[in-house]
Amino acid sequence: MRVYVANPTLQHRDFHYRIPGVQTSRVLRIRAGGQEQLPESLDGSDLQSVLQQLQGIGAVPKSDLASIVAPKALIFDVAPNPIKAETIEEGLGLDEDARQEVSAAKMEESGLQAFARAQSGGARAVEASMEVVEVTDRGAVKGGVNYEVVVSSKPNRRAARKRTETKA
Amino acid sequence: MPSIFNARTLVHPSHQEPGLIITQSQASGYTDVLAGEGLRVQLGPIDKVVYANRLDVRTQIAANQATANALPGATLTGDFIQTATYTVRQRNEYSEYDVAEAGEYNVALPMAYRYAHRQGAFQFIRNAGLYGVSAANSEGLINTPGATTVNLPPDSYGNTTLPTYDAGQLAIWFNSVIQAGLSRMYLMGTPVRVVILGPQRILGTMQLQDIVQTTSYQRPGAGTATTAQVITTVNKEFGYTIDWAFDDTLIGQGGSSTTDAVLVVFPELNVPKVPGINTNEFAMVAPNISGNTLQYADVIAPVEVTTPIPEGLDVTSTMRVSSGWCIRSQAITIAQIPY
Repeated sequence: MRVYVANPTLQHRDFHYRIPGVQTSRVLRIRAGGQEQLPESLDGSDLQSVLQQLQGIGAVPKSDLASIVAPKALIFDVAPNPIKAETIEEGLGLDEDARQEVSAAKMEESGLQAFARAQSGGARAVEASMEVVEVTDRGAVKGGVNYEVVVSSKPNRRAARKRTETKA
Repeated sequence: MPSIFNARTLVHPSHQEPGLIITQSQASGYTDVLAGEGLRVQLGPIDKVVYANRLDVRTQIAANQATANALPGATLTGDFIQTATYTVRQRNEYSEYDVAEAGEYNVALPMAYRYAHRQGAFQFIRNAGLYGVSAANSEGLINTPGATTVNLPPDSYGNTTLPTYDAGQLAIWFNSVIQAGLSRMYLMGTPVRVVILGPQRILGTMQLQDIVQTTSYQRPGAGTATTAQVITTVNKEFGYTIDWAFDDTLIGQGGSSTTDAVLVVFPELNVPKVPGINTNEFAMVAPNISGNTLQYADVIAPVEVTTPIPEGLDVTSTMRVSSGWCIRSQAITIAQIPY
């Protein structure tokens, strides 16, 4: 059966995979935003093995794009026809969202790490703030961001964060 | 933003240990992946954006047995790329009472605030360097557009995770990733620094646990060397210097919660050239930025401004940085390693 693998990210992908019983691994180069067909016609346990390898690195089936919650996910489909361009485009949007979510989480963690002492010590009613300001709103660069992170060091309390985009 | 040094009841007599038990954080090795192993301190304090000019060339040439008179020429195309910069600021206010109460815990409050500010700023800078402030704009080294992502396939025994992986095959796979990166940069045969940045649990296993197994046939390091030693020594013999650097924020960043990201980076460009006929001659045009992975700052550590306020002091730390910026996307490979 034909297996198509699409790459809905801005990075090129070398998908390394191994067919059971074959000594050497294989590489499928999928350019950013593109898709490729696995050169082998796979069936049965070979097909299941390759699909498992795909899913193990966060690839999702074409019918389940909503599962793209982490960056760098691939899309695969076992079908006679290639994956539609609209599907890859939708995946690109989801990848961007996932990247931004990771970035936001890391910004938040910056504050948490800076005040790890206050948390680990079980301190009470402590609040610390880290201000990260991108001042392009004064110069109006399109796509700039203002970012403000407020970190609560109370146990199990997550931080508030505010992100606004500037418009040209 | 308080300091918390509670009053306490102590037994008398007692001995007070003068030292402090201070929280430890990981000293990330992420700066190793930056060109020159550090920030590029070139910004002015109010520079909002960094621009870099690109110069591309397309050459045409006439070659005729007879002499042609209508001759083609070279086309030079200028272009530029950009990345945003961000101010990183923190503030604390304290009074003489705060200083005195901290002193009861043997803590010099102004110094503690200074280092706390620096740590907060530096951790933010690390996160901005790796993940970007605005990842949607492809900021951050791990989000570099045009970089290559690879994944660790199962070994020939069907093992899929790093702790179970065949150590020898792992070394060979990593060397194949390095080779692919060198090839993309046209750096094969050119001495260059290669940085492998990953979580401790991945690189530590490769350095300390994964002794290459002996087999019925000879392979490098069998029974004597770990995966990391094989990678380091084999590359060293061909002029490639491997630097191992650790950063645990890369845990779970390989595309799923159980997959870690490991970055294989060529931070500097050692312009490939050969004596005589050099088909890369155009790269001799100066100034050619030798760094591939950059992060800009206006100062190497936050500037501290201490100001008197009613009943105390206000200390503000500030510096301006960009996110991590890879200006030659071929220089980064992101490996997804299941753990």
